[in-house]
Amino acid sequence: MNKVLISLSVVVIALGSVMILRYQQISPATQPFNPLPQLLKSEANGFNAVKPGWQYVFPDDYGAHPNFQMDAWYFSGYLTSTQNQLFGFQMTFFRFALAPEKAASDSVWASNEIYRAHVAITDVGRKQFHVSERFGRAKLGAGASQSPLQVWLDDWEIRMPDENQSRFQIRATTKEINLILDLEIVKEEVTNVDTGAGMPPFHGYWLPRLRASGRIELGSDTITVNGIATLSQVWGGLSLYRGQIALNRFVLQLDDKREILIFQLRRRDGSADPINTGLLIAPDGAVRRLSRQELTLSVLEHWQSSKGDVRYPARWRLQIPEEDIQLDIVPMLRNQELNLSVRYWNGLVKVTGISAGQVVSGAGQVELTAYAPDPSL
Amino acid sequence: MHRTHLFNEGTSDAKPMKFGILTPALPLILAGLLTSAVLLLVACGGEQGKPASPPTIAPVGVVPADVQRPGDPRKGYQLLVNTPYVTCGIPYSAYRQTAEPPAPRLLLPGREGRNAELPYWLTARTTDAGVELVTSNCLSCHAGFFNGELIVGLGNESIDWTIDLVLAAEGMGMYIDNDEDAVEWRKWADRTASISPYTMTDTIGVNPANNLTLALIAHRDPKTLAWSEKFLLQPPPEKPLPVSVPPWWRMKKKHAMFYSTEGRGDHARIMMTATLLCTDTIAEARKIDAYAPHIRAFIATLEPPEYPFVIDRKLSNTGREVFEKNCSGCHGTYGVDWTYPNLVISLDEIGTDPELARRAVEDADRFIHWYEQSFYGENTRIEPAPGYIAPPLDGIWATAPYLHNGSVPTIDLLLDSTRRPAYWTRSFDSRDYNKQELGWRYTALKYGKAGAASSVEKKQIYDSSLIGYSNQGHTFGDALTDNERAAVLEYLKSL
Ligand code: HEC
Ligand code: HEC
Repeated sequence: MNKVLISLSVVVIALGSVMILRYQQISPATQPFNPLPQLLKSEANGFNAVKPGWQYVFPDDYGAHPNFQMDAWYFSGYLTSTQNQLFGFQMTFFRFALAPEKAASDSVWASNEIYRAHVAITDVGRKQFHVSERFGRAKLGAGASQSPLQVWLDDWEIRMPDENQSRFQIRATTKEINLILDLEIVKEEVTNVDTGAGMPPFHGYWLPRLRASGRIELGSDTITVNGIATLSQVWGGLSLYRGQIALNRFVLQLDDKREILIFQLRRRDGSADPINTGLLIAPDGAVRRLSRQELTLSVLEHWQSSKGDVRYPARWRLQIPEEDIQLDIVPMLRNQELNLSVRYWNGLVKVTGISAGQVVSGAGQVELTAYAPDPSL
Repeated sequence: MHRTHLFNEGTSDAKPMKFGILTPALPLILAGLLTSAVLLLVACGGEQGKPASPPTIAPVGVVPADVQRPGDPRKGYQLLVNTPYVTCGIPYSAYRQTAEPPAPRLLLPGREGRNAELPYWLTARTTDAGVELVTSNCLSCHAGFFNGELIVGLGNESIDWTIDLVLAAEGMGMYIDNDEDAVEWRKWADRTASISPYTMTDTIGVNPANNLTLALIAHRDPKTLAWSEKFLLQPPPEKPLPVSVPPWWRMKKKHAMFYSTEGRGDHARIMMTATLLCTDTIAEARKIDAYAPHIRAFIATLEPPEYPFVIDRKLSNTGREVFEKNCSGCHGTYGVDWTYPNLVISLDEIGTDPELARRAVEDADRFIHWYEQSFYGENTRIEPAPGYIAPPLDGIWATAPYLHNGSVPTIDLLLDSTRRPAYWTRSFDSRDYNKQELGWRYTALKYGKAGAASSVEKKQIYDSSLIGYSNQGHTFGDALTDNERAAVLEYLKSL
């Protein structure tokens, strides 16, 4: 696996945002303006097309790719405080361009780039899930630079400091909680992995392991945290498809310094078993592709959403016989449903199991999309 | 005479597409084409579906001729490139979202309507419900590039069948938006999923068509052709044997189809088993069969391309003498008064990898029995011989790699069994041709698949130590002097 998987999975959320186009359900109350309908009218011509053979250059490729219509960055991770409190975090940024040329009009509303970001923090101890979403436009407090990386939306920001290009800084503040983290690259990018499925509609890479350190500000408390994180970034065209398929993604970071990425293609109508493929990253960064025949991922339990209308899978067993791996994957908090412009589940999970006779554990992030009722119905 | 050479431009034979589903390897299956390669081959000794009487094993030696239904070759070409004989595929709307417009070198002359804008291996179809589909056609396997030029009838020896078709087929579902399209996509994706384990080869370039056909047969009722999600016969072993796609122009001379001459009787009907992915009723099969003789006639009158580089006529004439002395007994003579003996050579005598023939003869009973009971068996016979046909060598310079399993990269090596590389790889670029040795430029390796550094390298290695992949046998050129061998090579350029 594979770029396809990696990229598609990152884009799950991007697509999620865009899906809304069809329904235009963004509530004016929660959004400063409703940019998405304009995306429908956006002009795909004039942007670079995704073609085989992209030469990845880092750190340049961490930055924005303004010749492409879309960039997406997705950080997530697992943090522990000095008092052993557990937190999960996720932060996404999307840049969507409406037209290739800079907008002719001077009006800031005519600016040609729309930004969307979301931040979520799972506070395992207090059983709380803090979620926040923002939209913005270039020129109105949002923007992205190419190299070194800097993307911002009001006071939310990800950047790569000039002086150290193996480190990201992210910062987000919400009504309840602030997140300030330093994320240092531990393993190099996974790119161009033999896809097995041909060319994806995006370019992208996956940084399977970042060392996280920083602080969470919760009310008047400042909590020092350390942990591990991961970053996926893709860029390419803006696909407005929705289709018959939903995508789920599992990123598992094991304490034995391996990572597993599972990408699941699921038919919305359930007319066939979901298809799982994956990547296993060794401690030294070596990438092993896991074909769908090499792994099984079974759902052991479900959870009924707090609104009561959606049933999400909520516990899994992952088996990779050839690698002698068996893992149980359990949400650290059941309610990690995001009720944003798109409704889906994306949360911190605990991983425990056995590999080659040894007990292994770890944490991860699981993303489950398209279980909530289709808003068009 | 139908010399269908196409455009010569562009720099690569690859067909870049946006999403996996439409990469070169996939179209076929994707669009679900299966093969005619038919039966035989492969099986696993299950007891189910045991035939009432054992199937006929043909003797080695001369293959007798069978009467063929007449057809109009010109009509045959029209039908071949415009008629959707494979009836399931990708909804056009989804196709459009995922595929770039094809480069001109991927377009064919004589294509009508929507087909004119599709790459050569896809054919448009509108269902009764009005859904427009793109379906794959015979040319996904039976058209290939030589020196950058697309040649209809040349086997495609560069397809990557190592990939997992299911991923791509399911992924296509993301582009399917309305219910009518969804029905069509689901059918096609389900079929693809059913057969995909049987199509995954270890190596780029070799073809799983035979195995694919057996897997399809195992899903169908022989009497009605109805599809069953569950296997009705024990399926073949999952891993396909490697097969090289023969050029179509051999059918002008051959009395039977396929390497072990199992395809006997009415060739037109046998060919159309290549539509088995989606042909779900006898009525549909009958409709296709009604025009199949035209397609057969096109195939049987197809001429090989002409060698595009210089030929040393004097050397070639010397080569002809050497050839007629050493080779013609099996491969026939060439020129206006050509002769062709239609000889199957026994496994012992030919010495090439026996597995394909062995399975056809020993392990295919239930498939042959299915065939006999089916519509397809009405005017045909599946009679494998325990050996391989010595093929006509027309246009042989264009059809590397050689032998039924594609194990030998050049004719030079085919004519000296002592020099064949056990492990080798090539660029899969049709311009990367060696005019001295007549075949693909290759790199001999010291290690096989087990020693490959990456999965990408692994699937590009031809590893003759694997089952079905042996490069031994056909030692008839070993005793030639270097001069004689060079002369024969020169002569083969003129065929
Ligand atoms: C998936 C690839 C594939 C597709 C699609 C395919 N074929 Fe084939 N075809 C093969 C292979 C491989 C063989 C050789 C099999 C063997 O001899 O065991 C073959 C053999 C043949 C032969 C016999 C050639 C010979 O020299 O014996 C004919 C004729 C033929 N195919 C016609 C067709 C027609 C007509 C179609 C479309 C209706 C078609 N094929 C579709 C792969 C394919
Ligand atoms: C005893 C019969 C016999 C003789 C003599 C013989 N061949 Fe062959 N030849 C075969 C058979 C049978 C095959 C197919 C073997 C297979 O595919 O496993 C074959 C295959 C070939 C092929 C490869 C065809 C392909 O498409 O892969 C070439 C080229 C060839 N022979 C050339 C020659 C030349 C040149 C000579 C004389 C020096 C020769 N042969 C002598 C029986 C013979």
